[in-house]
Amino acid sequence: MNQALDSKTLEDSLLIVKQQITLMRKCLESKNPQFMDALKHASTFLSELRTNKLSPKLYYELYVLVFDGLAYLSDFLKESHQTNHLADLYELVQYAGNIVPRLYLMITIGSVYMSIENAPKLEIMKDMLEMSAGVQDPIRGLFLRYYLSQKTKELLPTETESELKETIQFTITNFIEMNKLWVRLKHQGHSSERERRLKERKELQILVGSNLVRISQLDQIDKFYYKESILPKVLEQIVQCKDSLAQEYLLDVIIQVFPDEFHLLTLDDFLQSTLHLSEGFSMNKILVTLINRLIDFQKREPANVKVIISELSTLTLQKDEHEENHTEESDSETTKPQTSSNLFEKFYDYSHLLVENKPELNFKDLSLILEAICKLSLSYYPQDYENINKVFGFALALIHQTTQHLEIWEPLLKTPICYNFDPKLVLSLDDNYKQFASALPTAIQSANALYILEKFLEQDVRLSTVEEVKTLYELLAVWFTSEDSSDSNTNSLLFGTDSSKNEPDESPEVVSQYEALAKSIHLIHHTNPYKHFELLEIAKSFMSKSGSRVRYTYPTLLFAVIKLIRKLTIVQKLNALKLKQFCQFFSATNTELLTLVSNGTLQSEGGVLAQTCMNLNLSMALILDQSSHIDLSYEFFINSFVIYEESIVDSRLQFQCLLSIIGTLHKCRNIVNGNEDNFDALISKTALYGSKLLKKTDQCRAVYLASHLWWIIEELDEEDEIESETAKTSEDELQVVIKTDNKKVLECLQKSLRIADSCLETNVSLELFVEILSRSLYFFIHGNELITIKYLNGLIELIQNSILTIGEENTSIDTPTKHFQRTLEYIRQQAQIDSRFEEIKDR
Amino acid sequence: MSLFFKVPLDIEVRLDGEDSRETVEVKSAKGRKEKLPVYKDGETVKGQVSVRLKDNKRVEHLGIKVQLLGSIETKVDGIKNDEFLSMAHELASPGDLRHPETYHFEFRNVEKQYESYRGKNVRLRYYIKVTLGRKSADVIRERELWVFQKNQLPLGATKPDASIKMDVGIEDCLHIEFEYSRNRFSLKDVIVGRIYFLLVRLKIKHMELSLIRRESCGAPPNQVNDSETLVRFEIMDGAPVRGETIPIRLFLGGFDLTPTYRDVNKKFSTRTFLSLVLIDEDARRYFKQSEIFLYRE
Repeated sequence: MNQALDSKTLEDSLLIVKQQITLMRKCLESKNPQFMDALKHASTFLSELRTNKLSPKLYYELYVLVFDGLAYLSDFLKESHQTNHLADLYELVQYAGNIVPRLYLMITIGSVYMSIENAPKLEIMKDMLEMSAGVQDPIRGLFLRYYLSQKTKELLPTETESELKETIQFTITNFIEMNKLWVRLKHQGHSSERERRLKERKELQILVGSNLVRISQLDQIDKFYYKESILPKVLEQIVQCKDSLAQEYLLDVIIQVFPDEFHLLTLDDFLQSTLHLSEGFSMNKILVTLINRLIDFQKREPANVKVIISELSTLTLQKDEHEENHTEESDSETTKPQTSSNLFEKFYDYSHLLVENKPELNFKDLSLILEAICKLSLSYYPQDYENINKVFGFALALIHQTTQHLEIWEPLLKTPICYNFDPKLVLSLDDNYKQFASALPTAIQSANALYILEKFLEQDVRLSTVEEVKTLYELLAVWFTSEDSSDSNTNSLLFGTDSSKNEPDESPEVVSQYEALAKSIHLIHHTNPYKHFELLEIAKSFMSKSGSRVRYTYPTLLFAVIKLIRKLTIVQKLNALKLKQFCQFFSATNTELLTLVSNGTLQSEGGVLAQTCMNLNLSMALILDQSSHIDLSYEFFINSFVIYEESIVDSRLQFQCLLSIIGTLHKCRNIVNGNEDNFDALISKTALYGSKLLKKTDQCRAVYLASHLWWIIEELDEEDEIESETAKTSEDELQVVIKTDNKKVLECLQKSLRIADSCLETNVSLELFVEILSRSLYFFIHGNELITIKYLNGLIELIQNSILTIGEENTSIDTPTKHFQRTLEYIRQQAQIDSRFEEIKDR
Repeated sequence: MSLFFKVPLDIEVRLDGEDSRETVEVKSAKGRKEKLPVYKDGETVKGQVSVRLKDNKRVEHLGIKVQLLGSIETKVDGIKNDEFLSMAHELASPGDLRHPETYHFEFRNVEKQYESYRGKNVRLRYYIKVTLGRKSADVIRERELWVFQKNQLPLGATKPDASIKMDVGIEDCLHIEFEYSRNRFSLKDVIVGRIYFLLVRLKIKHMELSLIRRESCGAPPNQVNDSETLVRFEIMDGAPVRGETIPIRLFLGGFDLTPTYRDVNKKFSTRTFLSLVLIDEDARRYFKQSEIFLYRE
């Protein structure tokens, strides 16, 4: 409101000060320095500092100018102190009628006096300090005392112990007085200007803090002296001033300016005093800063920390001896005297005291403090999980007192996992943590769970005991249970109908959660496969709680089982009994998945899931085949067929599933050899399925693909080829014939030809013809005797005729035509190495 | 008159060792500063009187005498003059003066009972008076001296070095204790003390210490008092809170102070009071005076 006025006042004052400084300099620089006149000018410009019209900021500008002026004066004095006897001058300036100029002059001359050898430094210090009490106006007083400390900072004597003591005493006293003035500023003026005063005080805070900085710059102080003589006084003042701004700022300054080792040693005193701070003081900032510093210290110089902690414990032991009948804190100290050197215990006990003594403390602060304590423990005692348990026990007790703003506890919840490099820590925590977690809103819980799991995945932490698996999934429990409760509530509210209850559209969060969950199954690991299986069973027992969402996790689980079987097969330790167990587990799980499909929970997704189920079964069948358990394998094939028949409705899916079946069957070896009847049954069924497909194209393709099932030839891979290099001349020796049935193959091809021919669209049939030609060539090459040159020529002719009928220019047959051209090209190439091909006629 | 009857001669009084003697600067009644030679009690006053003729005319006279006078002049009810010291020497018997003449005089070991003083209504002065008697008007020449009485114990200070302690206040507004180290001070002393604030409800702006000289002359029914503030010295800026202690330190040496006199020749007294003044934001003044006894060392 009166800023313009203020700056006008300032400008006037600055002008006067500048003039007077110039005049003063003239007096001093003349050949016969007129010192008395110079002093008069100094006194005049100092009188400007008497103003009470300026805000602290503007007053500071004025102060800076005056400071420079006085610096000039003191430089002059220093150079010519013989001619002006400083002691006399010091007395002379005492006659100045106004106190502010008087004290500034006194300090100016006094500080010069102190810089001279053999000056009574201590007396001057004391005198200046004592007389400064005359300025009781907060702003003027603060600046005056700031001037005092600025002028004396280089000069304070520290050589002997007593001098050092005096110096510290001097600085602390000045600090205390400045702080009093600073706090008093709060109570001045009209109450409507409180906001502005708060701002002004903040601008002035650095003046007060500078004293503490000064103390910290005295190298001669050791930590014990600090503990005994400095900190108590400073803390006492901080507690007594009853002003939250001051307390917050000054404690922060203490933490910042003094070395970490000091803090470590004086932790008790520091914490004790913070209990007495005034209301409205935000405790968390200070504590968090302090703890962070301690943590950094530990990280930086762990050796040093150890030394200090041991010093601390000896110190406390001595103290205990001294004060046997210590009534206060008796429970913590008498029961376990050693714990007093345990940092965690200190903070933990402290947090309890805090809650007792400061009921007004809000939970937000508490949560931050506990978080910091947690970090401290993790940093100082990384192995001591008991500490973390305690913290969460305490947090649990706190959280029971309130139901509001639970989100503030989230960082605390994440601390153990986020701060520790070993995610397994979280598994070692006891029930407190889980209970604590479960007391929080589900959104937070599940976010935390995801966070934990991501950590595990990130670092690929193996879970190898029952406890670990259980604990981890208990921590994730929120995902398994939340679905029904929350979803049904919201949905019934929104839609009111039951049908929408199981809406399968999941939110991205849930999907990512379950993705992580599925990945977590791969973390489970045990060197003993049977133990490993047990762990999987446990995992399943947790997964099964998640309702329809098992569709995200079960497939992974089943693949884990398959993996196990393969592993066992390789090491050839597959126990038949156990295998049965595996299979039961597998089919039970798979059935559970299928029920999801059959009861229609998943609607559109159902088909895909069914396909997955079927594929899982096929994979299982294949692995069982590979491990020579052909009966079991057959069972699983049957199961797959059942799924195909019952659950795959969509024609597209059917075709795809059929391809999977054909592919899997084609890979089977043992079942073909071991029980050919069963295999024949399977492949005939497959071919039958193929011919029953909805679309002609699908039918056709399925059938010609099925033809391969009667013609299974294993080509040796390259390694074997090298071994049998001598036998390379003969083609047949490169192949291991598993099943060849010329007739059946031809039947299938013929059938697919018929189907292709019956297609209404000629371009489609053409395409199919070309494909069939390719198949036929394959069988021809591999020696199916029923596929003759004649047959091939017939096919080629058929294709060529179709192309002619459709007309070569028709763009719709571009692709099949090209395909056909490539096939003919292939035949020509083959003719060069295989004489049989020469007989195939082409144009 | 002198315009018409010009005094035909000059009289000059010179004191021995005048140049090296300690002097004091005093303000004269007209406001000018004059330098006066300082004499102590019992010191011999010695010098020469030289008489010079103007125009080299012969001057007839009825004798020349020199006097050392001490008097107290009071302005109450017109100027009264009371001489407490009068000594005289004859320098020349009646006759003619043809040439300039110089006469020596000496007042041996004169007791100078009181200290010189110039106040508002009263002054105490010592002077040399040379009178050349003539038939018409005498020619008179005066020369003032200044006398310091050292080590004079003020009469009132029975108990030396009693400190002053006082506890004053306004009910529910202000309560302070103050303390000065002593109540007797030499003129070059330092007043040291402290003020302790027990209760502060006033909005104090600043606090000062003043030295007040109170001069009184005449006998009680017609006594005239006059106070003069000699020194104003700010000792506190801003408002203190309770529990605050403010130091006092006032050097006296630099001020023009008068020792405490009681009933000098039953004519007058000068006393000095130390007054503690608190000024609040509405410029109201609250003060407490206490007498201090000053003496010259």
